[in-house]
Amino acid sequence: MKSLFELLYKRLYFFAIKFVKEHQIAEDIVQEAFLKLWKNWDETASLPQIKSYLYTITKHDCLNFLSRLRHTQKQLAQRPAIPESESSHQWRMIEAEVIGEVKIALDKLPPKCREIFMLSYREEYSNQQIADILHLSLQTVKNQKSRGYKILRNMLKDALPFFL
Amino acid sequence: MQESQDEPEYFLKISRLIRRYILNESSPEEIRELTQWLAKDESNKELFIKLANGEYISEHLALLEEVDVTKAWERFQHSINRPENKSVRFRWFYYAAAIFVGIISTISLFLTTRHQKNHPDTGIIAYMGTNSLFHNDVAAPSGKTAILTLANGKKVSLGQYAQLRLRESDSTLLDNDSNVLTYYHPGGSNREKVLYNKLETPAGSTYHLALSDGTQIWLNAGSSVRFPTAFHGIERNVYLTGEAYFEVNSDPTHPFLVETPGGMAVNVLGTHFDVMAYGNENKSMASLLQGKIRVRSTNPATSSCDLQVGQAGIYNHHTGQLTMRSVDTSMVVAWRKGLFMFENNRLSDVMNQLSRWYDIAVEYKSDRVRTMHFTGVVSRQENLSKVLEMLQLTGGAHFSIEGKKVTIME
Repeated sequence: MKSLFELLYKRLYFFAIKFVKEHQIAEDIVQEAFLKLWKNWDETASLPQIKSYLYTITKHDCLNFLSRLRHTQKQLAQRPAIPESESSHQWRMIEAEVIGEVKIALDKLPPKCREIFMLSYREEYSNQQIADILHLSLQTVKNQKSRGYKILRNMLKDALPFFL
Repeated sequence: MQESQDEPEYFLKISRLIRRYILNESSPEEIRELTQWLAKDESNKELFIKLANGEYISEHLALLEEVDVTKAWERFQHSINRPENKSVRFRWFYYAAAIFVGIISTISLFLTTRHQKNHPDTGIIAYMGTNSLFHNDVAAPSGKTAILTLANGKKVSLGQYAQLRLRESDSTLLDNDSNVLTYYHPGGSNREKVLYNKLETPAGSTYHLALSDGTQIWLNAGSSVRFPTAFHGIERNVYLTGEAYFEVNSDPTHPFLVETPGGMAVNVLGTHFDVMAYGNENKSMASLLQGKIRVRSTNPATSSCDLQVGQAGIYNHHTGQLTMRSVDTSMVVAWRKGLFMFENNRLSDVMNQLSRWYDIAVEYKSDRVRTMHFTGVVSRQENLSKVLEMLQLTGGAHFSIEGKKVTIME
């Protein structure tokens, strides 16, 4: 259960916060979703089924929360309700899934590799700039960077091999 | 190929297609599927363009970085009503102890020996050599496996990397992760039938078990414990053969009882203690580290004694006598820190411990060697030859290893 929680918590939180926009509420909803999973545990469920279950419950609770909020707070009625369709929910799930998988893969990179990878990916530094920042040779940066991509690719090749 | 967009796992499939595209791994078939999806809706394209943009992803990765999963997991543990802190603290301690063991075993090991009868001068030797006196050897076991027997009799093997989550027929949940087997009972009816599970460690393995009431049990090698998946009655009964260290979750209204095959039982209110009750030894022993326990004989139920911290109750299987004495508690639980610790132990006791760890048979060529006494500390990570070499270097006994059998001569 712990591995499952660690694997999926972040992306579900990310998914929830896009709806409810509030840290504490997103956290509560995701916790509740895991509790429901726990109580209704089905040992035959596959990882995709579990993911699907958690996303569906989280979405449901987020929408519930929003509709109660609109109902109780009159002033919110002034704010036009964002048109929410089934497919827009699905896009949010896709977004959370893609980002969640990339995040998990990055966390598994060796530290030095990750540092270089992040610098180039996030900040868009050139190899030379990274070499200067980290006091490394240009060749080391190049090697580590390609190693990072390679490891990342292998990891993302399929769904993460963590089940049973 | 025509998959419905309403299918619950459809979004996972699309996520995978996009992820593989981003990492430049798509097969032509996948590209085709992705293109089809993109053509379906203008906003699909919008989403795709967003996700394929490195800057967008990295912004969101930074957001995920701030999410504290450890804290969230602790909260989750708390909600399912079980104190996880203990085992986390224990694991930290275990690693610290392992490092400590590594250090002392590489510097030197001290071992003394003396005969019980004539008490010659206690000899102390420092072990530093690397040349083995033995031609054969038995490697130190890697040590983290167990066999779980479920209520229906089905056996499950628990290994280092085996993850297991299943539900017993009384709806108790079992979770085996990182070498800890944990039971969670969802609560509810007290009228349910009591189900028993059994956890067994082979020679050379220890295992950590957390019962549904929050009680923690560390099972030593070659031991087994039988316990209810959930506690319904007034008493919390478990049955132990072998050795285990207990940290019982305090609950005065539900006394905890450990029963053993030799005829010794331990009544507990909430406390830390070690019980050693191997079937092939002639005595059972319960040692108290914290709290209060009562040790009693069950066969016949004649005597009992209340232990104070630092005391042990010893039950002799043959005479049925129960005696009490002071013990060095750090020695009693040395096994939990990965050590063999002997203090004036008979060679036969020493060899019993070694055989449970290295899974060896022992043959004594003379009766006199059995009663020789040894004192010393050895890491359980050492190979058997190192341990025997130290015993041998202290003089008095000679050992030889043949396969999985050790022969001892004068």
